[in-house]
Amino acid sequence: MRYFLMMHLTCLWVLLTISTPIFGSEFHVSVVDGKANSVENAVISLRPLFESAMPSADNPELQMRQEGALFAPFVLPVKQGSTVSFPNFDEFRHHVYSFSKAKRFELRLYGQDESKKIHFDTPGAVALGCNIHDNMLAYIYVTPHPFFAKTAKNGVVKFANIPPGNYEIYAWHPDLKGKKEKKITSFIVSEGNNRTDITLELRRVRKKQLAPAEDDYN
Amino acid sequence: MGSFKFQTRLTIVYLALFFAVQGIIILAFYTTVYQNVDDQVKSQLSASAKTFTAIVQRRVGFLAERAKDQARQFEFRDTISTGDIPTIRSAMRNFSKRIEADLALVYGLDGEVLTAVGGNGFSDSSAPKISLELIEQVEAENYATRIMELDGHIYEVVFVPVLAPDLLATIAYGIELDQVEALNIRQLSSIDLEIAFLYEQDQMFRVASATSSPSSLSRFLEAGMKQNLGAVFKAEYRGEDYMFWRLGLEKSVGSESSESGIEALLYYSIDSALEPYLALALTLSGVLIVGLVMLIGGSVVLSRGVTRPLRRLASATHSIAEGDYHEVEAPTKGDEIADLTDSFNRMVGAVKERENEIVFQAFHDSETGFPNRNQFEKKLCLRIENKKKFCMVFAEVQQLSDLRGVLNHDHVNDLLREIGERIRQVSSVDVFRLSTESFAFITDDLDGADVMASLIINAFMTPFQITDIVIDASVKMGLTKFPDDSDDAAKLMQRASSALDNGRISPRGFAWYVPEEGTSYKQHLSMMSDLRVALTSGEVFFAYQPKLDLKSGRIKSAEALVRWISPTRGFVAPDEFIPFAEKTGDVRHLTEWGLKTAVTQAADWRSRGIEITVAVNLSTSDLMNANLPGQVLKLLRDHKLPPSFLKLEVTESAVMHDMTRALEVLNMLSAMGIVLSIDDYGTGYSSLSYLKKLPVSELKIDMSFVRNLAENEEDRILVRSTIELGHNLGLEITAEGVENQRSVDLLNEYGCDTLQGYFISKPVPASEFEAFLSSTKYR
Repeated sequence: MRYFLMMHLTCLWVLLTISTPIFGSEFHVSVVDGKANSVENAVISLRPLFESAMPSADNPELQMRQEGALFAPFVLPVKQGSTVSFPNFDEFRHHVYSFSKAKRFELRLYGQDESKKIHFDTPGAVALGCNIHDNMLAYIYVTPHPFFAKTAKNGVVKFANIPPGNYEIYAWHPDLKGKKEKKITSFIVSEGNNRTDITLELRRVRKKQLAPAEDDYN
Repeated sequence: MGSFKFQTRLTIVYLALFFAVQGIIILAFYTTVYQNVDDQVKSQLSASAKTFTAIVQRRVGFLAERAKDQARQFEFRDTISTGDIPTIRSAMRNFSKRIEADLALVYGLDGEVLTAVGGNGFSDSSAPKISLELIEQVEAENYATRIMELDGHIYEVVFVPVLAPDLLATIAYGIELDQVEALNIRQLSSIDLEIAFLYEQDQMFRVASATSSPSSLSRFLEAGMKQNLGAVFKAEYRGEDYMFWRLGLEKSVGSESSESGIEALLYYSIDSALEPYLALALTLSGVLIVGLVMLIGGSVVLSRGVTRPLRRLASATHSIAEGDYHEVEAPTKGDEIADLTDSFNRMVGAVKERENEIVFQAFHDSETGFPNRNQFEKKLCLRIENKKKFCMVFAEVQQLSDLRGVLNHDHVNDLLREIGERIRQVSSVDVFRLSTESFAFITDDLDGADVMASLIINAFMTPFQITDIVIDASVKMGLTKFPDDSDDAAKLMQRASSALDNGRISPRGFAWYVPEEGTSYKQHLSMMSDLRVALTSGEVFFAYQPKLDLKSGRIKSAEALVRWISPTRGFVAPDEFIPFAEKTGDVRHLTEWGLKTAVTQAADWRSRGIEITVAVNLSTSDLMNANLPGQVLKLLRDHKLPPSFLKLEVTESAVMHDMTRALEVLNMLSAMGIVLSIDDYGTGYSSLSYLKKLPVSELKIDMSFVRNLAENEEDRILVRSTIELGHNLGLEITAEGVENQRSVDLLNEYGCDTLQGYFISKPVPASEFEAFLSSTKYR
């Protein structure tokens, strides 16, 4: 029985090792608020403080969907220079806009048939709204850093296959007090598993996308 | 008077009650009204405060809605997002005018003022910042309201977020709570209350605006702040009582941390709230005054209704006291006063009747119905006042005491009435009953008085018939003349009594007053007082007259005869003072003295071998004195004198006065062994029948029979037969007044036992008596 268990663990380790192509480091960041509650939708970005080969700038198709008079996702982290499409899945039109400094834009009334795309080259948070649906709210966070991700419901974000070394860590959240990212100036990511906890001071009143008025569905 | 009159008292009591009741009413009225007004004002103020709050909330809500609308406008958001201040300001000015706001502000995300519009000309820099908390609240709740004080103006401010969709900015619109606003709110209140908006500065309330005279309110508050004012308080303001209601408004933006606040002050004059009650109070006062007047009037009338008849009764009692009996008319019928008046009148009647009765009784004799002595004296006085001559007659019924023994009381009264009536018929004048036994009348006919008296005496020859009994009665009369005998009523009556004394013994049955006879009463009285002194001073002494015992031819006894030689009066005859002493009772002292002196003398003699029995005279009153035997016994014992050496002599009349009592005394004396003798025998009744009853052993034949014994045949017969009679009864006989040898011989012949008289010896003092004894042949 012990033998079997040993075998099993060994196999798991082998598998993990194999799946990590070049780098060997994994980094878990757990985000909590002042009251030690897990914080979802926090965007963590890492800026390596060493020269390294940057991962290829593959641009997956980024979408900020409008569906059921709601934006989805609520927070969308994108790499600086990315283009985000705004597909409308509703039967009615939307008028998406942003007055954020990082990107001011306005997608005037458009329907399902039209596909709108916006290019984001300035880092920062872009608050999205719909001029005809006040309840709709979403954020696109534009980051210049190579590694970024947003926390899941449990407040944890996982970075896999990042090169070990010293990093600056940036944390942002729509409810972050002061509207500035939180910055951790130095964090050494070593080989293997790393983890850190980041506490964000969030506003008492959280921003959220409210459900639309019922009429809006029809 | 000391105390209040009934009327005043009644009025005072009524007034006191009235004032007490009215006082309670007024107090209740005042308390109720005041409390009521207080409550009313309070509730009005409370309602107004609620109205005020509602109005402000509505206005703010309205403003907030407008502001929200504006904030949602895409273009506006666009404008804000540009951060172009001039554009933003002009947009705000435009909107504020559109929504009639007095103040418009735009705040950045950090609470700094981006731009400010309106607000009585403050600048972007002078406008207050807002806190991040407020921004957070605005963002969370989509709007917020605050009260702001800016440069002495108070604004109700609404904050609204500008979302794009993230918070871009906060815009604020304010409406000033100014006088216009206050007046508007006041219009909505049912009472004419006053509203002021206050803010606190340097721990003082400042007036931002007020419905009226903010400066005086400001001064009032300055003074009032020294006390700690409550949420609701009453105070005097502008000379009236005001009720104040403090309504705290939301905290100011600028002074979030401090305790200073902004308040709306609602106040209302209690005096003006009381105004509607003024008419009621006036009416009540009127009722009070009218009630008071009616009460005073009523109580006066009522008390007069009581006191007037009482006063009338009182004055009636006064006149009754003065002898004027008249009835009082009752003012009303059937009430207590009428009852009282009725009782009073009945009492008056009864008193009148009784007085008449008393007057009648006072002036009439109850037994016979004849006018009495009182009335007679009254009449006598009247006649004396008239100064006309008249004759006054006293008529005394004889042997009335004997008649009383025969007749019963009623019959005696009947008899007396008949007697009086008979006198009246004969005299034809009013007859008065003067005393038990005597009548009196006055006649003008002086010359015919003698005839009238005789006629009256004759009239009594006819016996009286009382029921079946035929009775003989007689009267004796004394007559006096006015003014000849006296011009004084009392003296006249005394003279009449004196005349009556004579009349009793007069053969005619009546007598006129003889002036010489009357020794004045006063003289007698002074004599008596002199006698009392004389008894102790030795002025009074005994003279002893020897009594010769014929058988032995010796002096065996002596009669002690009282002698009074006064330094002022000289020799006073026993006849002058003894009868009067009997009348005044002084004879008692005389007897005491006499017995003591006689016993002492007899004892003295006996001790010296002179055996003489001493005889002492007793008076009528002595025989009535039941203590006499005891006194005598004591004297005898004290002096160790055998009773046979004391002889007591009594007159017939003295015994006859009250024989029963006299017998008691005499029997006791006799039982003691004392010799008793009848003095002056033959002058009085000289009834042999009573002699049997008396325990006497000696008879003394009066000297009037003995003196002329030699010459008078009749006297000789009388004396001889008396001696014989006495001897037959077992009595010794003493003859008084023996003045010659012939009498001695005759008496000796008749068998008389003892002789006494000048022939033997006159009465002499004790020493002379002793000398006489030693020298006489009778020894």
